[in-house]
Amino acid sequence: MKVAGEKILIIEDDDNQRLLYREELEELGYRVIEAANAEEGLRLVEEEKPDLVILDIWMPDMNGLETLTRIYDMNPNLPVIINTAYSAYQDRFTSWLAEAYVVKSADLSELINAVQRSLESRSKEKKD
Amino acid sequence: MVSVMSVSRLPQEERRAAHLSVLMKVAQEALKAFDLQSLFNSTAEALREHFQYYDVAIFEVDENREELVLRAHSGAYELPSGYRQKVGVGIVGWVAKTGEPLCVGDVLSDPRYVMASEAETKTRSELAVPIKLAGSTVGVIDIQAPEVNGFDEEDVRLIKTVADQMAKAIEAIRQFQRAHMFRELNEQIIENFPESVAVVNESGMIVAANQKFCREVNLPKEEVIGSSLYDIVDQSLVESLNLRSAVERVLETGEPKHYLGVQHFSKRHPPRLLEIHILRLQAAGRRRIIFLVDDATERSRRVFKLEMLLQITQAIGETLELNRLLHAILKSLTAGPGLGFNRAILFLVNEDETEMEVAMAVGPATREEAYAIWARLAQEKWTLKQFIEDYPGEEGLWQTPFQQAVRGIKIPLADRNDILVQCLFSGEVQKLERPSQYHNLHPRLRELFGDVEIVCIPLVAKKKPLGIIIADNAFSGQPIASEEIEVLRLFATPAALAIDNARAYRQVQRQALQLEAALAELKSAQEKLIQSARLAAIGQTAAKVAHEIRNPLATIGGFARAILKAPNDIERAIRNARIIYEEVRKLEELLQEMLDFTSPKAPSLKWADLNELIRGVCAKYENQARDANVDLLLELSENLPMVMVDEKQFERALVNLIQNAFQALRGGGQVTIRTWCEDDCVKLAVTDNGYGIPPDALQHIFEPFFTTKPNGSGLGLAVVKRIVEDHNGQIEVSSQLGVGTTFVISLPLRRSEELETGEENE
Repeated sequence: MKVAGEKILIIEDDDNQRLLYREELEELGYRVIEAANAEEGLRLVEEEKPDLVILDIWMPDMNGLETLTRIYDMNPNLPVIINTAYSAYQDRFTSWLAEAYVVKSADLSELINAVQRSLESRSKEKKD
Repeated sequence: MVSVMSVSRLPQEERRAAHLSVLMKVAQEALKAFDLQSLFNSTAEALREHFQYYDVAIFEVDENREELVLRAHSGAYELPSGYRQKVGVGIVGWVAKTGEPLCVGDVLSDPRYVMASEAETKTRSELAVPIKLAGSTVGVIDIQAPEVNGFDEEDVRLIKTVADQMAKAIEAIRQFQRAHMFRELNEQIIENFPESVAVVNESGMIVAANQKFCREVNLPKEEVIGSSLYDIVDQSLVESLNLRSAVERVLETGEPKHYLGVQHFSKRHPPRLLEIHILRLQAAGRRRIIFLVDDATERSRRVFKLEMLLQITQAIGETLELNRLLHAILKSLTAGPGLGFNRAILFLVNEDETEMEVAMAVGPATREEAYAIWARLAQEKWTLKQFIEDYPGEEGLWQTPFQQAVRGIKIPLADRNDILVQCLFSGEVQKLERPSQYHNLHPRLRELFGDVEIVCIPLVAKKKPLGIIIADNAFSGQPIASEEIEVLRLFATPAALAIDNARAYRQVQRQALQLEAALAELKSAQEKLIQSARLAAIGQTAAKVAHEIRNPLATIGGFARAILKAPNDIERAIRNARIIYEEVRKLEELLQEMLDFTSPKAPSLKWADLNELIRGVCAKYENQARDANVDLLLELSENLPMVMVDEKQFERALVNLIQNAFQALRGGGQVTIRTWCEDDCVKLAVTDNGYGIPPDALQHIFEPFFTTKPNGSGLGLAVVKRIVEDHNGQIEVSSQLGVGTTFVISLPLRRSEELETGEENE
């Protein structure tokens, strides 16, 4: 799998989780930027123009789904992966705005797969 | 016929002697005379005989008619008795009118002369002398002679003397008659007295008594009159009343003596309650004692009945143990001589109404015992209250042989043949003259009562049969009169009411217990509801809970995998392990908080010094405070009252608050803990000068899982709130952004006081 050093934005309030993902993704060759809250996250979306966003629904300052909508407004083509401990939101209709809905677990493979899948399809689109 | 002249011609002395003797005769007759008629008769006779007067007549003045009535006559003439002559008419009339004696020498020449009858043609001289009493003429002595001037001065003087004597005699007789009349009147009065009465003279001798008295002492009147009072009256009374000295006292002082409530037991009478009165009569220098015996048995019975009824009705009004009251009723029934019953048994119908059983029985064993009891009760004048207090308790109900004999007798209500069952359902009183003869009476009762008459009275309230009272008159042996049955009825009514009352009360009690049980269940259901509400609250935030657990798990798992992927990167591994440890700690805390929150233990309250508790907790945080650059200040009020708290739980709450404050003070600051007393409460405040809490977050701050912090379960403050509320307290928060936050816990003192009194009552 070719990794083109895409920029991934992680919006996640848990410090240790962010660390985990960063290390995992950097190991795979991705560049990682972090935001600890939605406010920060939205700013980085605008400034850094990441290629993918990993978003935790539950944020102290903003409803994750609202954040999702805001990101979509800013850039409809920006893939957002919801990565959350909540499983209930899978059925919510706004979730379909997200590229994928991943339930957090110790096994990060599902998250990684989702990241790779969505980046691949995007690059394919770009090529087309 | 001896000439009247011969007397007048006797020599003076002879005449005087003759005069004296006739005077004596008249006097004697006067003394002997009990009535006027015999006096008049004997005087007239004496006069004519001695002085051989021609004709002697004695008239009495009838004042009302102003006539003279001929009372006695001796002599020649025949005069109809009852012959009357008007006062003022004739010589006699003249004398009666004037009040002066008159001697007429020749009647024929006197215009006043009136011939009383045809036979008086022989009369030539007449002597009439008035009989005067206290200045008024009450009679006339009239003497007639056939010759002219038949009377001389001596004669006049004599007749005057006789007239005087007669006057005295008349007075005496009249008095005697008055006295006689008086005596007769007295006798009438005494005889008709409703009580036994005897009149006793100063030496104790009975001078008068009525028939009742004679019957009382069982002697004929002749024997009574003239006997000593102390011999006649029952010796027991003489002794117990100290009669002799009592009578003497009354004689001396004139103060009447009243003996009330004298019990009299004798073989001749049924036991009686007597009132004896000793009074003094004093008249004409003579003193008499009136000895009056009043049989107050009936009266006192009536009074006793009424008093008892009143007391029983009052007693029913008060809440009384039923058995006590019933026992008192039975006892007062048999407390003769008040009511005339000796023994009584009470049957009560059981709650299922299937049978009736003997509930209690009262009554002396023998006649002697009965008398002794009555004497004591009457002496001490027992009231119902005393009967009620005298209750021997459940065990004491079955002491005597009588009580033991009837204990346990049960009669099934289905047995409609049984006479008691019939009585019960008919609601009618039954009198059984010879209980042993009744085949449909319980055998033990037949044996017990034998031939002693019994009365059975059913106790009914609101048409429900409650029981039966059986009463007999074994010792006084008197047949049970309808009046006694009335009494029984009168007592049965309040007894039935009392039983009904007690039953109703028991029912109410039972219902109250049921209600209590229902209430307790309701409370427990309510608590369960609160519990499940809590759980539901958690359920609602189940997602949050999952989140809270998943994150750490994911982190733990992720870093664990990372270690496994690069085991040789020791530094990395160590760091990862540390992170894992951190996350595990978070999970542990979360778990603890959730446990605290979902299954709260009811606080086990003990008296505690809040200040001590606070100091203890703060001591544990000294180091942490120093490390975090936080000043932990205590401003604890002295003399803070003790409070009832669960120490462990309260410590937890305090810890959570302190932690919360620490978290607000990233980078250092001040945490102040204050305690004071205000508004009947002990107050505790935890203040930090940290970020503060935004107003919109402030209202949610105690909600479970609400947190503004990156870390934290959001349960900490919710747990604090729950603990405070479990202690019946309140928690408030106030905050200003950039200034700080204060949490204030208030624990009411009143609750502690309530608990204190609760303990005292135990």
